[in-house]
Amino acid sequence: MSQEIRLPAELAACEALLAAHALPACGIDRDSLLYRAGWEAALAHIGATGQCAGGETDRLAGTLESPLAKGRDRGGISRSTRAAMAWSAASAALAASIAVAATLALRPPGRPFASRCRVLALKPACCGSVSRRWSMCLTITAVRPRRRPVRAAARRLRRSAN
Amino acid sequence: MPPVDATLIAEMFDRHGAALVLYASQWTTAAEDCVQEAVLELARQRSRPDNPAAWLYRVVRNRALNTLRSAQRRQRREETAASEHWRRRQRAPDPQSSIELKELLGRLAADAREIVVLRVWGGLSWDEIADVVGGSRSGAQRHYVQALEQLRHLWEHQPCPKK
Repeated sequence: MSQEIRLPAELAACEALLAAHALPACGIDRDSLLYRAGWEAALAHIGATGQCAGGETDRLAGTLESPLAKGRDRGGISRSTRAAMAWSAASAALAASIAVAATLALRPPGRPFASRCRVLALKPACCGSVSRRWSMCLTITAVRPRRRPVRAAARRLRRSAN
Repeated sequence: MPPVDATLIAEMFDRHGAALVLYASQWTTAAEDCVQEAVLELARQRSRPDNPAAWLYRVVRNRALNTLRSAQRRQRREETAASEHWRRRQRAPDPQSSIELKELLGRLAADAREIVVLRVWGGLSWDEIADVVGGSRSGAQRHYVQALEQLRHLWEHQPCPKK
């Protein structure tokens, strides 16, 4: 017995008209849904294969919480990402400070590298959670010495020759 | 049985997403939530269902009916406590295309409407439809033919539906 039913011509036309009617657009975010589905599949796989024993699975499930869910209330940036950003900013500030200090320490004696050195305490916008110690930035203003050693030596030589 | 993979989930969503939302919206206003939960449930399956499309429609149907029952219980509780103004509040308006199709389907009987959506937009076979709605194949076919006759009668007195 055939599964299909034989519709009269007018009902078949009616069916075709109905099928041609456009469905309302689906308001579901496809990418977000597939991403969440991937996480759910991974968590289900861990639970099914028993790669982690007992309560370890639950702990791991908590660890593997979707980043979208983690950072939902803070602009989509997860806690780990924010911590990494803060550490990067702090490391950059520390490296810059060490570089300046080394340059100042290794300069030739009797020849000033800079005549003025200003230290400004700045608080960059991205370093909200970084301690003030690391947000301190050094600003060096290099200015030429007013009397260059070579010219001064030449002048002394001319005086002695005279 | 092969496992559920990302390709299957994407294919099911692309093919049936809008129809599933329409299907669930017969019972609940949170149709999209039901569809998302059903897709995530499919992702959690250890092995691929025999018929993923029919499986999705069945899960969406169960979730939508549960949501409807919860909403009805909540509404009953609210109605005893809330004022007349609260009961008469308006729901958010739907898009125009959604209104047209829902109005059209809204004129059908509940059983027939469900079968029309499963058949026309879901593309399920009669056996699958009977399995999803929990009836017989001949009963589903009878409801379907009656629904088409009712729609034809409606369209004879109205201009053709917009495509």
